[in-house]
Amino acid sequence: MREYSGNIGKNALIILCFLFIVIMLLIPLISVLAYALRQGWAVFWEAISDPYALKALKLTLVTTVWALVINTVFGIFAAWALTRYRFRGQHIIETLIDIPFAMSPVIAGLVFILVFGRIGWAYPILQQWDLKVVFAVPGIILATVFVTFPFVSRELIPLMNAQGTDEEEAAALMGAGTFHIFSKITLPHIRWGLLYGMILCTARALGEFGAVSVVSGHLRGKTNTLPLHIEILFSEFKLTSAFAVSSILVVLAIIILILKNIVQRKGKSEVQ
Amino acid sequence: MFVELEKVNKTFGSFQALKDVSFGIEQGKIVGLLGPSGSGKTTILRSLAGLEFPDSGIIRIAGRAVNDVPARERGVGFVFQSYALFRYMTVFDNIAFGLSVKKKKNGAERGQIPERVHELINLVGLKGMEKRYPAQLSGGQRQRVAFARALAPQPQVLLLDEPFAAIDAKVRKELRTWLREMINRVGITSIFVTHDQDEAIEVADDIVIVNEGGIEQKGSPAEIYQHPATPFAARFIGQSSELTDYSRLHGFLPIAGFHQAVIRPEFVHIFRPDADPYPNSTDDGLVEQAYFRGSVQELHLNVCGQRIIVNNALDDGLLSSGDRLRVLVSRMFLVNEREVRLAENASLRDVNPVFI
Ligand SMILES: Nc1ncnc2c1ncn2[C@@H]1O[C@H](COP(=O)(O)OP(=O)(O)OP(=O)(O)O)[C@@H](O)[C@H]1O
Ligand SMILES: [Mg+2]
Repeated sequence: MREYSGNIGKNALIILCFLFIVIMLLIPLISVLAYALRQGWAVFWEAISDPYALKALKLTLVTTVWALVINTVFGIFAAWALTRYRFRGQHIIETLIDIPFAMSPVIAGLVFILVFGRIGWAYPILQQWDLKVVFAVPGIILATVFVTFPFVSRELIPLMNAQGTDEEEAAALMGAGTFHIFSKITLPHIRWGLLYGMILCTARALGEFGAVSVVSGHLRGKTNTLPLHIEILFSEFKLTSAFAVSSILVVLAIIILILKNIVQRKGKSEVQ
Repeated sequence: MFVELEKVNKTFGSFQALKDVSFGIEQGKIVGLLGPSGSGKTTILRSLAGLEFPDSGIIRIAGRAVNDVPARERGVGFVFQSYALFRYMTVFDNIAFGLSVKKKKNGAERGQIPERVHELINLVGLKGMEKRYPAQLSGGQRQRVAFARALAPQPQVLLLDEPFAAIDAKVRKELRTWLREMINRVGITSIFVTHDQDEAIEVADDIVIVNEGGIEQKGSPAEIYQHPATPFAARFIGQSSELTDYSRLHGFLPIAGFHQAVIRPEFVHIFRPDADPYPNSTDDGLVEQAYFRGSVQELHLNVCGQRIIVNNALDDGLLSSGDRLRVLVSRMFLVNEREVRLAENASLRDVNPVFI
């Protein structure tokens, strides 16, 4: 780049990026923490130890773990199928995986209402088995899984394409079974990418609002996740509490960012 | 026949990669699959290994039809063109991989694995490199690891896909001899793929010439060289010149149905114009290009308006373009679309039998 734009251009660009990030990202985050602590630690502590807040946190964590497990397994299967086999409809599936990225999460929520809700075709079947999906925890988990499912497979597909099938074929010729091949040959190659995808999936699952909001029904202490709880506090003008609870999510986000950085660096150093 | 293919066909989509491929290999022999790029050599190997499945035809290994046997149960060792070493494992673990898989299945003692791995490492001359990763090895060393790894589980058949393709010319020659000795020592039935004829002639007991998904000829290197069975084989082997007007040369009459001739350099003899022992059998030749090849000089001659390639032994000194010579063509292969026929120089036989 240096040949095209002198040092002035370079510095201006860097400063611009820096300013943008500070104004758009850093200041808001700091404001959240500052606002949360405005009335002192006691108030802050009270807000986040409120039983409803704790229940919301628990539900958020449970949902995230489910989404993470389901999408990790699905992501590995999908990446394996798409990179290791050739079949009709391969390209269609590859495109379909991206739907959650392209579609508004609210629509995803509405889709679940249409299928599993009172007006949905699956409702009578669910009734028969006495299952509740919409306005219940399973619905929240489903919505979160839907919104986060491309993360793992999207990370893995390019990695596994680049790896090729030679080594796996060599292992198969020496008598190794599929699981053995996966754990000994494929996994070492994709592990950092897999972790990275899992971290992104976690981050998104923790913060998901739109899709979950539609299917949850906002039952306090039952189907409220942390982001929904914050929204309720906010609409009730309990600003300090809202920001205090928000700060939990901010702290979680920072932890995830740090993890992400470590994983990315490890992955990179391994490539070299 | 220890390994046998019978009328094997394979298509990729609408492209027919193998057409009625049939050939066999005796136990303990080394066969070289020789053919141009894209002719289907790799596809033949992969079908034998169980990495591709033929549309029709039978593949037999040790008397058993293996069409429905998955790769992992065929007992075939494979050296990939790219070696496909396990990049996250050391040399030792690469070679031990097949053994540990086998041991797990048989439940036998694992204590023997290190012993066998060290034996193989010594065999291929990589002592002291056990702890290295593939990325820390040279091309030749990787090739040896790939070879040892394929041999470790004691396969019945060893398949090698262009085992020397990624190696520079000098090391390549050494490795060829090395590979031949290794295979003979282990006594394993082997098939290797190459598009280098010198390599095939040097390493193989038998050569199979593959072209456009079909087998052109199978035979010993000498047979293939001296008696090409098809026009393709005649053209492909050796560094041949092709003529369309062969009857303009002394001693060759046109033969109906054959419009082309293939001439190998060793069928051509050159003399200085003032020292021509067969004046009734030779033609005038003009040196158009002269290439120095080290031990010989490769000459491109213009004889009766057609190009003929010949190698000049250097004891009579170097020739250069523009030099005039007398050229004797002692024989040639006449070819058409389907057949090959050997034609001898008639004037040599009739006129001057004393000199032959
Ligand atoms: N998986 C595949 N899908 C489609 N076509 C294929 C596939 N594998 C091979 N082919 C085609 O089949 C033909 C034979 O391929 P193959 O790899 O056997 O050639 P080869 O003789 O090994 O060539 P080379 O010397 O270049 O390695 C080629 O035209 C190739 O394009
Ligand atoms: Mg090939």
